[in-house]
Amino acid sequence: MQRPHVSKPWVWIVFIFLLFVLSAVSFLKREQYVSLPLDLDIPEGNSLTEKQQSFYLEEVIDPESTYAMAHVASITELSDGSLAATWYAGSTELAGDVNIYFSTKTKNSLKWSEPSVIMSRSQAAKDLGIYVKGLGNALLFAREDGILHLIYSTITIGKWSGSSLNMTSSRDGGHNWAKSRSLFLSPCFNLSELVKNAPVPLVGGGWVIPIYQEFLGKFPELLWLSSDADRSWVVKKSRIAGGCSLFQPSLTGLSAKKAIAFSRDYYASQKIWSSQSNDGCRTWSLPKPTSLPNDDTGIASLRLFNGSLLLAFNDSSNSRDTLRLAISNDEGESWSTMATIIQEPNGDFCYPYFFRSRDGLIHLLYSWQRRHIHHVVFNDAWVKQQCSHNTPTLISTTTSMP
Amino acid sequence: MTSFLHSVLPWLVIMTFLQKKIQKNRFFISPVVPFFFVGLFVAGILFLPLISTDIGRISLALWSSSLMRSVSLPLIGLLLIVMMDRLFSCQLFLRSEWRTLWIFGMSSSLLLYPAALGLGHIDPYCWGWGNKYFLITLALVTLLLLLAKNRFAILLLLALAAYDLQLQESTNLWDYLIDPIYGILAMIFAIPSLFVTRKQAPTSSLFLQ
Repeated sequence: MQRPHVSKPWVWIVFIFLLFVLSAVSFLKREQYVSLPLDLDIPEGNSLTEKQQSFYLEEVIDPESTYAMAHVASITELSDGSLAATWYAGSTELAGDVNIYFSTKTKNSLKWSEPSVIMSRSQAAKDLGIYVKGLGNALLFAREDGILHLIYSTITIGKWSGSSLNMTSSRDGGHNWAKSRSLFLSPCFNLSELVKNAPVPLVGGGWVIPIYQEFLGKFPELLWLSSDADRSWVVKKSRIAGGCSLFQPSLTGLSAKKAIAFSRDYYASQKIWSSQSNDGCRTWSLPKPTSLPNDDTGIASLRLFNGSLLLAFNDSSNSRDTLRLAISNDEGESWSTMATIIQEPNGDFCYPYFFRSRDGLIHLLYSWQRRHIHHVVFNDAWVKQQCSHNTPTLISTTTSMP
Repeated sequence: MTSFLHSVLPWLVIMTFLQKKIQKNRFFISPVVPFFFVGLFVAGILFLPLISTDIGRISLALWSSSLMRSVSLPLIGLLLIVMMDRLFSCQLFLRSEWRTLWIFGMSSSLLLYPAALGLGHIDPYCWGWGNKYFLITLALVTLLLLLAKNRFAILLLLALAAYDLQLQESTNLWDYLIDPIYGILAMIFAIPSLFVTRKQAPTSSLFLQ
């Protein structure tokens, strides 16, 4: 047996010198993570929004769709005030023919544009240079600059637990999309990271995005992104809670440093859980159950201009046939149901998604029978009006099929 | 560079296991066999990335490593070391260095993977994004190993260099230090490596036996 000689002292001195150089470079690289902004950017109402008349509208984004299943929608606003929405659709969940669809609605238009495919399984495989078994949850978001960002999940193996997150962006309102890149967020083959709810913008640019893991355990996490689209995205992750049951967090900023996260519960508690942070989402209180029911279904939360919290949820311990809104005036400590968005026996109205546009309107998307994506628009004045009722008000029992 | 690493890994694994099987055959005792293997290895690295699969028109190399998107430098190092030993009888690592490699892999795995799967509120994986204490600890461990003239330190240096140069898509330092395959191997070999005596380990590694 031979053993090449590396025993001369100067060789090891060179290695030690190299270590100092490499460590110094690592410390310089560290700056990009340390310099990430941490304050949450909380939208405030103005005198104009306070004087608004009560407003409520419900419409279907994809009325003429031919796919058998549509699910997990998200919505954002372009620089000209147009709305843009994404969702995934195909023959069934996890099928190879699932694509990510995109549609826009200009400011004065009555209809959403014909949905177009912005990401397919083959396109994702080509962009990412990996085998892609299927596509899943997608999240669309943008700031005032109008650059659209899309985070979407690809499944490489198995079912949802075999998914990972990827990112792409568009600078022309969703007509052309940049080559996707993978986000490496887990040491376990980079598997099982998913996205569902809206991001919270950070002061000075950047985002904090609620994500979750569902491999062996299910737990809520946060993805931090820098805002500079011209260079590589600085990405890092932090944890809201550990465990194996709480997931699909919905993050809502209460002030620059204060935030609350609500989570769906996979196991037996059948409650929505909440956790609070007082240091810009860096550390979180232990999750505690709220009084609201949850039958392992998606939820969404939003802060109203008056500081109250709004939550969209399935108000049942055993079904998804009722989609309701609840309001809390004490930062999530107590809740009262306020309005029913839709209710039908044996219905499936789930996966709500909240977004507030710059004109102050609140947009709620949800999966309608997993066939269509519905868009509900209302304002704070409408919420105030609904709250004046003592009992939950049935807003719509529409079967609004196209 | 990422696609190069992707094309290297499947070949390293295939070649390492192939050698073990093939060298038991008398026919392969010829002195040209090592060079044949090296030629095959180089050809694989050159051509595997060019062979396309039907799915998404990605290369066979990328397809085969779709699950293993980030490969740690210690894993590449240990596979190369095994190859060098098998092909050219060039013993790059002593028993103590193998032991260090396995213990580093095992302790990193125990620290990283249970927490990454949801055990507790702290996720050590997040330290890989610029945590100064993590960087200092890694630098100190590497320095101590260098002072002890332990060659595993060279693999840690290479991992640090690969991270600084962003040779893989991952921006997390952990992905350059450990991966699940290395972690599993370390869990298997670390404890037995502590009990191997000098007489029992002529090739310096349980992995090679």
